[in-house]
Amino acid sequence: MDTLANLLHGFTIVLQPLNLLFLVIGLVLGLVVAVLPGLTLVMGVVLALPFTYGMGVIPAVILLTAMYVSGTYGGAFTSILFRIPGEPIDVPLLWDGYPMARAGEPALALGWTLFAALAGGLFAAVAMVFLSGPVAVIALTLSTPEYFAVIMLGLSSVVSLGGSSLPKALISLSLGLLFSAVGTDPTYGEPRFDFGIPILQDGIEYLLIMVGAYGLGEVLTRMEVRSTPVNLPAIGSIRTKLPSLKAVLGVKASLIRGSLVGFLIGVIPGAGATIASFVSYGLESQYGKRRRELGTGIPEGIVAPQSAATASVGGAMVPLLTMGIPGSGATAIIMAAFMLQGVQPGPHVFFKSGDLVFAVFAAVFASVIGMCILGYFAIKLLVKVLAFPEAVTSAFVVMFCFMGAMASRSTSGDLWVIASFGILGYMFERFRFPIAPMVLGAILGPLAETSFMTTMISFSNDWTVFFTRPISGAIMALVAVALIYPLVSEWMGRRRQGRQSMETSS
Amino acid sequence: MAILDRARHVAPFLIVAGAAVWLWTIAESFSISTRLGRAGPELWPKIVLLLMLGAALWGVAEALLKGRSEENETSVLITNAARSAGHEEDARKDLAGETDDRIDRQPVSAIAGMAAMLGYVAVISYLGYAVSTFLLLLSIMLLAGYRKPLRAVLMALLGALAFYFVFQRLVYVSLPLGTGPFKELSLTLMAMIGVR
Repeated sequence: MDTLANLLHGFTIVLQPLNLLFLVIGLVLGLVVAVLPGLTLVMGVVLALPFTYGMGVIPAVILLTAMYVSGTYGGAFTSILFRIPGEPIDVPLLWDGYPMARAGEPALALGWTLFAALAGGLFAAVAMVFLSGPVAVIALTLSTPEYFAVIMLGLSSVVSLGGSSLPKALISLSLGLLFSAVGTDPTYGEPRFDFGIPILQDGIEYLLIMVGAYGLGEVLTRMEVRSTPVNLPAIGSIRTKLPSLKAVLGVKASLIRGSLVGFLIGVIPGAGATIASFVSYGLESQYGKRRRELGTGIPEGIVAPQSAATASVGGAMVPLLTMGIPGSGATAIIMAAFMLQGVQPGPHVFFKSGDLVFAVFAAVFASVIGMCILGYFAIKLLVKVLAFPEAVTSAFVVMFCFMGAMASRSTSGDLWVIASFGILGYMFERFRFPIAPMVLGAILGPLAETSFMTTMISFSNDWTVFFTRPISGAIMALVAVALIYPLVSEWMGRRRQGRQSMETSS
Repeated sequence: MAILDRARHVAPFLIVAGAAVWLWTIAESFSISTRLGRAGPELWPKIVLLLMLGAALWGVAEALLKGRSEENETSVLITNAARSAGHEEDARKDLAGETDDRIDRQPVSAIAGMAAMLGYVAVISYLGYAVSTFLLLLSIMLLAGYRKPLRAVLMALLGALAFYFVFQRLVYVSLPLGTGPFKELSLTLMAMIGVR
């Protein structure tokens, strides 16, 4: 009952005029960035972050959460109608959503997407509310060795699930951890890696790393890998046609499976909406009632990935709010918004700032419903955004990035730092190093170092405590599994391929 | 070609390994302000540097032994799921944007873009915020392939003025005024929008 009463209170906060305004702005921006050429969801959320300086923590987090939720949905329109995925999340929609549209049912394909996003999002929001409390209770009992192990698990799963080149992901992570170590050491006050440069003496703000690497780096990459403007084909009147109740009941198994898988994948740090969408489609192809028809334009092929993608948002909020562990680029930015306002998400904030936490929960519910209403009525306008010139978007993205740096501390040194991280972000893209581990390393680095050093001091430099205490030992074993998993999976894939080619040649 | 290909793959890892060793020597010089035997301020960076060095050497070994010219950069979970659905190749192409026939690679544009960004930071204190922002907006639009120069000039002008207005009247951030005639221009603009 307490939870429901708190959630109701959260709704009263979200529905206050100013907060509601930020929610709507966030929803519109999220839908637009998911469609707009030259912008990705994470980039869009990053660009909005500097604008949250002057807000309170609640409107700031409402704005970014609304962007995150609606960003998982907006790209579906262009995937289904034009076979142009707005985000990697939307790629599985090309395999059934687009064929359904080509078969003369674009309105129904859009209707299935809307229904799946709504149902998956609401399911995950409910699960998020009821799971967060118990997880936060467990998190509260953790002492520093266990907390360090949890951070390591978060970082290692980001490394192992982000891409298949483990050395590159580890380098990216270690760079992020090193950037966070620049400046005055938190334990002893010793200056580190500042090279006598004044702007480095205060440390490198993670905001500059995020905005530079995700924003400027992405613009530079898009300047190299250019796409010509889209000529939108005429597809008649664009509208959304909701499926009948009978049809909905026919796909209930796909919907439940997709939502559950999406939520659980969202909870795992490093595995966000894209992985949820693909895994759900993969499971549908294995266990779905109409698995043999998948790929021909059936509703199950739309419902499974879309419900999972939206459900992953609710899942990703659980480790963020209860343990202070962001699992993806977008949740890392939401965590940064908390930290910019002096709030460190985790079990203490969860229990002491109920208003804030339940306002975030209510914002997820309101965002899911709001994005579907907007998506239903504003689809025509949103699709037109696709024709906006990428070059113009890029120029304004660059200016928004520099604006974020200036608004932060108003020093010219920050402009050099952000430009440098822009170039580093581009080099990362060029040489195919993942950016997310670096960003998460920069954010979680100080927490990891503090918990590590506190443990070392408390346990007289005995590093074995991380492995010998039951809970931290078990979590460290999971860290090892997370790091070994991609290697084993790659090896098995190669063996399978080898076997197949042997069978083909014989 | 195979040697060049391998060298191209090994180079970034060697640079990272070299940087890790160099930073290690710097970490050695952190003065230890604690009692002997206690973990000092260099311990955490050294652990991270070891991780970085190990990963770089692993990368070198992998590039030399496997010599793979094309890496699969997709998460194993995505690869496995797409494979089980029979869409492995589609997923790889769609995620890499390879099915998009609208793509045209121009590395020179990216290098020019970097120069424009660094140039912006270098000249902003001389040209002032408004002029340098106008120039950056215009140059990025043109370098990114926008083919309507007059419209680009107009948008850059309006954009620069809009950013100037937002900074001066809405978020109250002090901006570089520039020197000489550019300072005069900045002061005129400030007067026009009512900032003294």
